[in-house]
Amino acid sequence: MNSNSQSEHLNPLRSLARKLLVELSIYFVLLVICFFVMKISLEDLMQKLFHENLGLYGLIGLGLIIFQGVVVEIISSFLANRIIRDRLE
Amino acid sequence: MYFPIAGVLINAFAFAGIGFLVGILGGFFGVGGGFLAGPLMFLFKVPMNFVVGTDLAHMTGKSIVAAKRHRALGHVDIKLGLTMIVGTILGVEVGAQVIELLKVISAVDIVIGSSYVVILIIISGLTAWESTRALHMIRTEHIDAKDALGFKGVSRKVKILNLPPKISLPISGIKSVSIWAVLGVGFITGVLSGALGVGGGFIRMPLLVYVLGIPTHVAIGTDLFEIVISAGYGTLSHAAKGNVDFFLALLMQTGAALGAQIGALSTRYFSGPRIRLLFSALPLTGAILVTLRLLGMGI
Repeated sequence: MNSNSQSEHLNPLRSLARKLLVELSIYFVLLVICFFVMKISLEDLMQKLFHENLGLYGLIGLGLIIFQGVVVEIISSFLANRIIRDRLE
Repeated sequence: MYFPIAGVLINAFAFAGIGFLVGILGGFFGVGGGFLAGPLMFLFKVPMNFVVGTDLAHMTGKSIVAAKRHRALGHVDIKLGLTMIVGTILGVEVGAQVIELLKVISAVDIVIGSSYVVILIIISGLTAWESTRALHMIRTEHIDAKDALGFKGVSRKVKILNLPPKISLPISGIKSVSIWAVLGVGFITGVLSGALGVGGGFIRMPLLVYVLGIPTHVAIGTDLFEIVISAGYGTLSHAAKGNVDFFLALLMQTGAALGAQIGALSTRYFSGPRIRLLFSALPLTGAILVTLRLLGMGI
């Protein structure tokens, strides 16, 4: 394999790795931000629900868990695609 | 950082770090990781009742992240997962009844603990032996890593089992299999899960591969799909009893979600037998932790 075809072969891999790295970095930053925003803004409400209505506390808590995992991933994928597309343009 | 619901002061970086480690294991092997996260949370002085519930809550989120990533890679067989869950629910109920029976004769800890250790050692030994054999077959017989299974006897018999109704599982590459075999795998996992109080990923993944003949990557993804349902249900149940601190779970998930993504993506670069060989160390670690606890030397 000559050097040209080798670099052609490596380029998609390199761009995929870069995309993943960008996406995972954004994902982690958003996860941390999300955690702090939730803790600061919802802790009092959740504490109140914990003492008054455990069923609702469970439902809202599970919703927060799903939100942090899934919605943050969708946002970070979107942002990573935009950043990479903007850089290419 | 203080968490008023559980009433604990936690080093947030270390706690998220545990999540990251457990997340990688979960995404890569399709296990919940409760065997590791539970004792480590206890080391952080999280009250015992909050350990189980909070672990289940973070497991739900992490498994959703990992299952979503595995689904994008074509590794989740939803039809298999939904069929199996029926058997799992029945099994969990039977397992819980076994616990009640053992309570009557005051033998819960010793019977459950020793059974758990024996089962984990068998799974670890069998997986290590089979995967080493499969890797040897790849080297000597030049067969595709996807088809390399060092122990096909049971799955071959299950596939020809003529017990209607039969279903096809196209994502798993299975043309026809008796629904009773799928329900049976779910039931066995459920019984062990209900009796031993564990998520069941340790047991389900090898059973899917060796009994139903599901490819390793699909077994991992489908296992995570099952964990989402079972851990989600467990979270709601424990939350209703006041055993979950969702902010502790969210902190753990901050690391775990990232780890789960990395773990799930990493499976692309490992063949089925190699994943199974690495997996074999997990049940052994679990067995050692339980043995230490039984001997009063652990947590």
